[in-house]
Amino acid sequence: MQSALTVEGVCVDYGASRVLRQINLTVKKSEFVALLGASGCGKTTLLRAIAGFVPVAQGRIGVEGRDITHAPPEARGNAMVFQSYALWPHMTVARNIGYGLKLRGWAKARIAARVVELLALLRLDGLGDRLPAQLSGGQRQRVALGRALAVEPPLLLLDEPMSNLDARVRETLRHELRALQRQLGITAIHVTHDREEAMTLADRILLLRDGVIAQEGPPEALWSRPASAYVADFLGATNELAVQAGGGAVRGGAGGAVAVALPDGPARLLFRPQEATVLPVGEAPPPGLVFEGVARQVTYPGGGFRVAIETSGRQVLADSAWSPAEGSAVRLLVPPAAAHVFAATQT
Amino acid sequence: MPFLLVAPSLLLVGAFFLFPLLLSVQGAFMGADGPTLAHFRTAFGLYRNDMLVTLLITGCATALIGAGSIAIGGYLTLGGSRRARAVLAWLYRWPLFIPFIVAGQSMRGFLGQNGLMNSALVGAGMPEMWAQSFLDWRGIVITFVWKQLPFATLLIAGAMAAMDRAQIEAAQNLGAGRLRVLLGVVLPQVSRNITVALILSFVTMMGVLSVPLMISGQSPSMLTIPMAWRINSLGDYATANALGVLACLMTGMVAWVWLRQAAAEKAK
Repeated sequence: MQSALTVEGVCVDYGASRVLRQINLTVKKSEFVALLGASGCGKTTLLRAIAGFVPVAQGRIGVEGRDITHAPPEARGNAMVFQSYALWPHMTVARNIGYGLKLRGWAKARIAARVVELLALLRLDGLGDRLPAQLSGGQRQRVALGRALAVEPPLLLLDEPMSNLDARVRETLRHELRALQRQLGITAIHVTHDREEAMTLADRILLLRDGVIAQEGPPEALWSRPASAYVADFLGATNELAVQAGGGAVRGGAGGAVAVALPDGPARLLFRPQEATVLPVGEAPPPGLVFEGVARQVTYPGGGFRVAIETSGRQVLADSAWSPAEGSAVRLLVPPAAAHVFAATQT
Repeated sequence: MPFLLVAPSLLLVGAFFLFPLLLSVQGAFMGADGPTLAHFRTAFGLYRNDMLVTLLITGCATALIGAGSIAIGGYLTLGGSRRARAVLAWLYRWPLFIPFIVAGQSMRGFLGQNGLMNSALVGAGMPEMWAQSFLDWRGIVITFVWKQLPFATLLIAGAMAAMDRAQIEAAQNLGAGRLRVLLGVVLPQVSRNITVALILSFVTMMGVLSVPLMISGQSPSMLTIPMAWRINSLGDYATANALGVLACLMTGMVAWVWLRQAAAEKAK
């Protein structure tokens, strides 16, 4: 099957500095791809290069087999949803949504019918005559989405569309967007710095770092098998302990071992607080790396306790079903599946 | 207390602006034997054509300034070549720093029968018999446009630059070319700034004496010329005051259009 988007060896420069290096990406029809990364990693630049707002220094971009590398933005046919909504304040909701169709020379009656259809789809019924200023943030972003969807673009580009919304609205809109994308079979590229947003929405995630792809794959793969310490850290494994690799395994300070494919020498163990456990001293531990430590602080974020444990001169966080006394000795268990180990030389 | 704070500025405005203004308005209606409209009859009888010429010149110049500043602002906002934008942005402001009288003087040398413009055109191959002097109402229009265009552009291009760039990109992204973006997205949002720029230009040009004096003082010309003539040569303050009131009425009309538009926008 023909791919919806192909990006081959794309490089982008801002003045003298190269901000995207040799990016390769193929997106299948109806696939939802998230470009994830910290600010300044180049994710928005890649999206804007695909939209035609940023010139490509090297490489090729194709949509449905058509080379658009040097086409002006207005000739590319894809539709973008902006972080700031970018609705035109002097036009009603209906005119905003119908603008792309007007440019395509549709008759007035046909535009009106399509706008009504989209308003219903986006749960904006009856708001067609309002001005953007009279809508809430969530409604505005739905109008912006409707404006992009109206033209049935081969490629939908989403530039952090939810970062200006409050958490609850964002969650609702996230699920709506996912449902809509499945229902309409839209091919979409979504830029975000929010890990959870990328994980819930995307079929595939591209994690960018300093203008290159750090890792690419389905959300579960990135989550359970991060390719580097950077990816692990970005995906929530914020705890780090120094360990020693030897004989194809690393060992916990107080027992337990996990097999690794690393040469002998110092290594970094990264793990997520919610995947680690706190055990009382003396209890026989389940499989995993075990470390002795002291509970320094216990908080209750809801559902369970979060314990700050001091071990081997570092402080790490771990979730716990029980509440150890602050200052008491405890054991930290990192189960094999939760232990992400990398050579200490790797960054 | 708050009144005490504004008192100095109120006093200043009252003493140096309102009072002289009222005095000259009153002067326009006062004859030797009490209130009269005689000065207005004189003004109308002698200078009806000058009034029409004044409106024609300022109206033409305002329209051209509007078109020019939208074109320059539009290119500065939407233009493709970064270098051309930089050159234009640097170039367009210069006439702002040149006084009206100097603009009039240099235009006199430029637009005359044997001026620089005709010499250049003839040099470029225009038949010599086509060369004509622009030192009439057209010269005044050209000088006004040259002098006021940067001012209007400054206001309009500034408003365009202040727009959310994503709004322009959203339109381009959906397939709108530059002209459509300008007409459909940019202009409707800066229309108020355009109106302000043009009204201020109109009012400024209405009161300029130096340019018509330099370019073409022959009758009929702009109202400022007979006003200066009545005062300086004839000591006839009454007719000059009447002409002043009429000039104020003309600018008042324009201001009224603006206020109405602003009120209509507020009502929305």
